[in-house]
Amino acid sequence: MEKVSVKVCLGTTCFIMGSANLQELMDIVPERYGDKVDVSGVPCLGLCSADWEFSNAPYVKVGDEIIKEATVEKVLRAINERLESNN
Amino acid sequence: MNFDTQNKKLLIFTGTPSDSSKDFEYANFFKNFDGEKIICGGSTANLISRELNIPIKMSNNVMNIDGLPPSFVMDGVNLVTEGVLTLSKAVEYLKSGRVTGIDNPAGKLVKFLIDNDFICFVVGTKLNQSKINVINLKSRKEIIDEMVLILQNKYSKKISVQYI
Repeated sequence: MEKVSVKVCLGTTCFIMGSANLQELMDIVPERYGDKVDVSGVPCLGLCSADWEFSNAPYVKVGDEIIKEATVEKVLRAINERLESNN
Repeated sequence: MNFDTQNKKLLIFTGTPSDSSKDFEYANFFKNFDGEKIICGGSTANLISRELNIPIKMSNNVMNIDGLPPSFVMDGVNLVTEGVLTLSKAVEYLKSGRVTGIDNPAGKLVKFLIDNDFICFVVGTKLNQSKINVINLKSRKEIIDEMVLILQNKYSKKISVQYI
């Protein structure tokens, strides 16, 4: 089964808007999903400049799905949905 | 005495060029620079990574270090940090004279600034409108200008600045 990749944007806008608070994901994800999901921070997803008028930062990518105004709950929900659809 | 080899040189690349057709040219300048190299900025790191085919990795699993985004690791680059937040914090440290033993990305940046004699800033001027709308931060240019003045006047560094 293809590993699900989770990328948390740690660029300036996203960091200030809340990605700093997604640290929990670094602990929960390996514990809950083991090798099925890989989570990492990235320096910039380049999404805030596309969405600049009404920024929806912080952004997280789960596979190719963009999670806007990301929270731990939203990201975990997206991971679950992706794992289910991969099965 | 050969002035060039006696003096330690540092390149700080921060921000992306206003003309994106020049991305490769600036990436090459970065690659060929003879000295230590630092990238300050996520978009900047992405540019170098893309143009020079260098992957970017987290240096550890921590997302917040003393209120700053973490640094990243890229082959051939001495330090990769976020942009304006880290640069602003580095300016604070330089102003205060607290320049050693700070274990966060701004502290690491300051150490490189202090340890080198000649510092070359290449500052991209492409604007991210989201940052202007959403967060009330000083511009990159204002921060770099302030940093340059302090480095010259307080720390006697030789500086060059190029806005691209």
